[in-house]
Amino acid sequence: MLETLLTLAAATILGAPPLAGQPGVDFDRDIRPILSDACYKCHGPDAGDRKAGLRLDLREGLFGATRGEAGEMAAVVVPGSPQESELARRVGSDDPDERMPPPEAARQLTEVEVSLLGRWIAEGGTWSGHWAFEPVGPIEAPGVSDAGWCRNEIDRFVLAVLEHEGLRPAAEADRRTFLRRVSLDLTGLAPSGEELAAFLADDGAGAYERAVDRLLASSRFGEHFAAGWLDAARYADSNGFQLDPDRTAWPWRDWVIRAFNENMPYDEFAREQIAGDLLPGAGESQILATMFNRNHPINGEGGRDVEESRNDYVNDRVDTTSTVWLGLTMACAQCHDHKYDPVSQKDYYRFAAYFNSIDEDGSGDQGDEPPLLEMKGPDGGELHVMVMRERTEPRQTHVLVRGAWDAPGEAVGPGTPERLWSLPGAPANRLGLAEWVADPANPLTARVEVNRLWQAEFGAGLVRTPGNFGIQGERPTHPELLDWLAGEFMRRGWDVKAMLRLMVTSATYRQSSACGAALFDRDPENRLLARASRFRLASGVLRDQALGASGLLVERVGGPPVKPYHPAGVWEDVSFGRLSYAQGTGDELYRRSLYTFWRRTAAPANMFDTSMRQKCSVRVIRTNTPLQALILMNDETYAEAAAALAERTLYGSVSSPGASDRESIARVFEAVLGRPARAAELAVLTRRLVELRAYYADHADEASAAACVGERPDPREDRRTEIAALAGVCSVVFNLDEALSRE
Amino acid sequence: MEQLLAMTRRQFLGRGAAGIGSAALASMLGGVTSASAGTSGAATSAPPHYPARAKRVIMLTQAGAPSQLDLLDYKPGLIARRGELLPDSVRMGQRVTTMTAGQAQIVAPSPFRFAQHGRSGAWMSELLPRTAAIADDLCIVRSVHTEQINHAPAMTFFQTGHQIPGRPCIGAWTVYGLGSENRDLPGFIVMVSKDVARTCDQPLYEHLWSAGFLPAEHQGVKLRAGREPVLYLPNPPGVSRSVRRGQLDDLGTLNSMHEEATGDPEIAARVSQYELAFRMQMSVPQLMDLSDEPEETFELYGEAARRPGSYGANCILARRLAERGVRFIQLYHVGWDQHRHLPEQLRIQCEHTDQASAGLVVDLKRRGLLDDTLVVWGGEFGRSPVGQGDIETPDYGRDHHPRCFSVWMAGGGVRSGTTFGETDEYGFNVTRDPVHIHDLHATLLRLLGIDHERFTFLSQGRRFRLTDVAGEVVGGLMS
Repeated sequence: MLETLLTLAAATILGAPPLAGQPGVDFDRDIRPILSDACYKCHGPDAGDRKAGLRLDLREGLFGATRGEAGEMAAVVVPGSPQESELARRVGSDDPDERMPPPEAARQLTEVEVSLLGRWIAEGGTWSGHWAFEPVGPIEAPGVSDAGWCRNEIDRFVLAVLEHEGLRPAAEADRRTFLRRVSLDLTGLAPSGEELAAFLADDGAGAYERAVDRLLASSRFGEHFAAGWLDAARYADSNGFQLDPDRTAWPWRDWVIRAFNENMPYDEFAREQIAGDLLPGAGESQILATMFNRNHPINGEGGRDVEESRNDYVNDRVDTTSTVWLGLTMACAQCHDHKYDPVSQKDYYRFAAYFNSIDEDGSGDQGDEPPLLEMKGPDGGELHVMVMRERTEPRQTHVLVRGAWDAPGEAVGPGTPERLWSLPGAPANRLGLAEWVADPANPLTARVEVNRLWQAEFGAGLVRTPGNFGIQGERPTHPELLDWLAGEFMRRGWDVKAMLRLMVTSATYRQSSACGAALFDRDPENRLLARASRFRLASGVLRDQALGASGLLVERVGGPPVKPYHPAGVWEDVSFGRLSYAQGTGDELYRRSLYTFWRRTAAPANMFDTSMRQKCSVRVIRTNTPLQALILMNDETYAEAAAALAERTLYGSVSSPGASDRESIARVFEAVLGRPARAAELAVLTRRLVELRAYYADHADEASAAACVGERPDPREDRRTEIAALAGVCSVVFNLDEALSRE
Repeated sequence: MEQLLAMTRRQFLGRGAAGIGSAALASMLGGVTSASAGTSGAATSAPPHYPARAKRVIMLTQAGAPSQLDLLDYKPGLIARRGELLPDSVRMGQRVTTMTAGQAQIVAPSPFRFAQHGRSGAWMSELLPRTAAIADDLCIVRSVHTEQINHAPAMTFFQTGHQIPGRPCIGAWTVYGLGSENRDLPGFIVMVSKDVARTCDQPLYEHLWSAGFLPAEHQGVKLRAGREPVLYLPNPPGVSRSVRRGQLDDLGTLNSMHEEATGDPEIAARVSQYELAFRMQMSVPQLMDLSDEPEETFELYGEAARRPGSYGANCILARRLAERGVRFIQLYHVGWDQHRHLPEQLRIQCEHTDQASAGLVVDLKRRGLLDDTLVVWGGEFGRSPVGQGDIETPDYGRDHHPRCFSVWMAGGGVRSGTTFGETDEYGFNVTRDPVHIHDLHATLLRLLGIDHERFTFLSQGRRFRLTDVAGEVVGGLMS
């Protein structure tokens, strides 16, 4: 009973139809997910595990015959007649020998699911393909009652759902909230006081659009979007494993920043990273782009068979390429046919063949393993960057039996999965793969990317499984909107900035996130978009924000990685003293987080909820742990930012001498949150400031320690008590949930 | 019912951090998967599925692969075959690492004396006198096997059930499933030690205690010796505990104002994590401070246990963590990779660990904790009966060997006084009762009351298990 009710509750939130009394069970939306989840394991694409020769993943199988009760052949599904359908009989049977799934199966059907299957058959048993593998078709924005609310097409799709659910959109966020939100979402940095003042003063038409255009044109934009791409592309500055030698990966990172800042069309972005080296007239930049496929860890462990390692790298490229560009979990087909999606094991190795013929030997005893691109470094020195380059004599690829590197089976050549779509005439090499990925007829590429852009701007994708658009992935919360966006993306020449502009200038985006507890209860994950999502910022963004608000941030685009504050002994511990962290000096301590050296065996200790950079990761991770609180209150980075903000507020060039406590605290609020403090907030923190001042006046050494924390120049001795006291308040403000969140 | 429906997974998880474990979450949800409700979700069926025999686990991982042939798997027949070539009929195509691929496969018997111990008559080598003295508390498994022959993938497999990094480790799975019993400490703690003599170290990677796709709060928290036992635990310079208390009070006040304005229940969860951090600032140093341990503790675990960060000190901490209800306590001790100088280096390794490992079991037992604490000792694979290098000199060692190795277990629900599984006369192949790593995992989970086949997590559309698609519970290891 409880189970039924919960499933219904979930179904309503998802926009699926309620159980009874309403027409329209939709095969792709309601039925395939059940079959896939509960039945495909034995009756799906994997020929190896298939029972009774029955497959329910294909139309022919679902409407074909199977062996019935008395051994006679029976129709699996007879449209319109559950009584004659073996499927309905078996899932509804009480006989343990008859029932499907069998009683020992871990996944059982719920009552709701059994009755949905029956209803679908009774309603005529119509069939349709999996939404994500169907072409992106033309789609019209739906009609809505309150057209006046809508600013662009996105809003009509969103509002249509809200009107259907009997909900109203939230009120518009105030201007300050909007500017902080859109600045963080597009550039990863909060607006400066001047930027905020200019926006507030701009009361002309198009002020929001002007602000958005300014942000999209800022070089901070490319840095922020590159940071997300580094997670997906498992970027690191070292190889990982035993010796974890450094590698020269940053020129590729800078390539990514440039690509975003120059608004490289997404199809080109794909082509260059997958096969830049094979493009006609490929220049240094195109070849450099292919380091995308060399960002995987390299295992130089002594005694390891180099061929085993080399196979791992090829597999990693399959996994990363299919996840990042296509939202396909091809890795599941490495040892056997995919359990759910139309990807056979042979497809897997045909895909692997694209990546199997570069001149690498798998040994991994140096940092940068061939093939290498020679480049000029910023100081005129030579750089060697790992890239893709085909061997003159291609390596033969085999299906590997059960995925084992030393068990080669049938020989295969390069190719894309046979039962997905194809691009006739594409060359049988990585360039052909790149063209296939970037082909407008490819139903996945545009959908996957607009979903990721949506995730970046709204906090969660329209598809909540950004790495799996296959049958076991989640359906979009707004399928028509996703398809319209995908179509629009291609119509606009794969213009990333244009799509982002469309998203953040929508009325949907401009809603307030403060909606009251009732809507949080009704739609905790904000699948309906009746408000803006509020969520904790990424750890790298939090650090950048603290550096920005305190005036410590050093903005300089690109260059070799830097080593900011890091707890002593972490690298030494993991490497048993072989590696030691040589902290940088001066500006290097205050660069944006994406420039922090990423050691694969010991990620930067003050980054949390990030990809570990061991393998491709496209999901959003947002957890809440005590370790995060320890970092945000105790890390030297944040302690120094609090002291620097206090010093700047009290004695900086724009400070007003003799400011009252309330004025100082109000300025701290403006600097961190971009809004004035309310009276109640001022009252709490003024009391604290008075107390802290008294405490530090009695504890001069502690005052000095708190004021002088970090490597920036120590403040004058007579100012330290005041700075320490206000720094204590700054630390509170930095740690407010509002400061940690994108509102 | 209405109220329950109104509570959401997100709220549960938020509140979970404040006290309700995920286990409670899953059971309150009545075993519903969140397949329809989210990108990832609770266990298909909430543990415990069986009455738990063990409440917590202490893993004494001996990284680098201890030589079972010199410690626990007695092969007297090798003495007569010393210097012979390993027959192909025994090797059956087994890979070796590239370190010995080019050399002759010469049989090397153990240079150490073995004797039977306890009423159970378990065979153990002279290198493990203290472990031998607790033979009747142990279940020695001589038939563990794996496919991996290199350290990183093998250790990753032992911890996560998969050789490629990225999946959750067994500690994360355990706390995810069973939650924590201590509100002031994380439920999964990791400690690493190395011996002072610097034998063959293999690095240990953070991904070995990662939560993978499980919620990150279930990742292992590493305790380190010294001023900063948990990273960022101490307040920054000039911030006293009283100053911090005041800051947290304000943070709580201001955050609750904001929660009222926004309606977001996540804010209360954040406040509770800040408070837990504050309590950890007290509880962790108290935990780490061994000055309240009586002299007899050090007599039991060994004098070396006085050195912070040593294996012995970590074993004492393991007991203190067990006393505090920490669910999964993971120790790593490195230095067991004896490709060379095995006779000397193995002796050193054992001198550094034998007394503390056995002392921990004795200590747990006398405090009544052994009944519901599961202790597991072992490495990521075994070592070969074939010598690496010239076996006529003391420089020789043994290469990696995945086909059989030995692990011992003690405590919660384990069949004590047993030696389980057999290997052939060369100690090369398992001849009876093989126990794959997946089987070992299935059995450990079973002792914790968890059915490994029903304990799944939905990530990106696929239900993952610690045991992947394999694993059988080994009844013979359980009492």
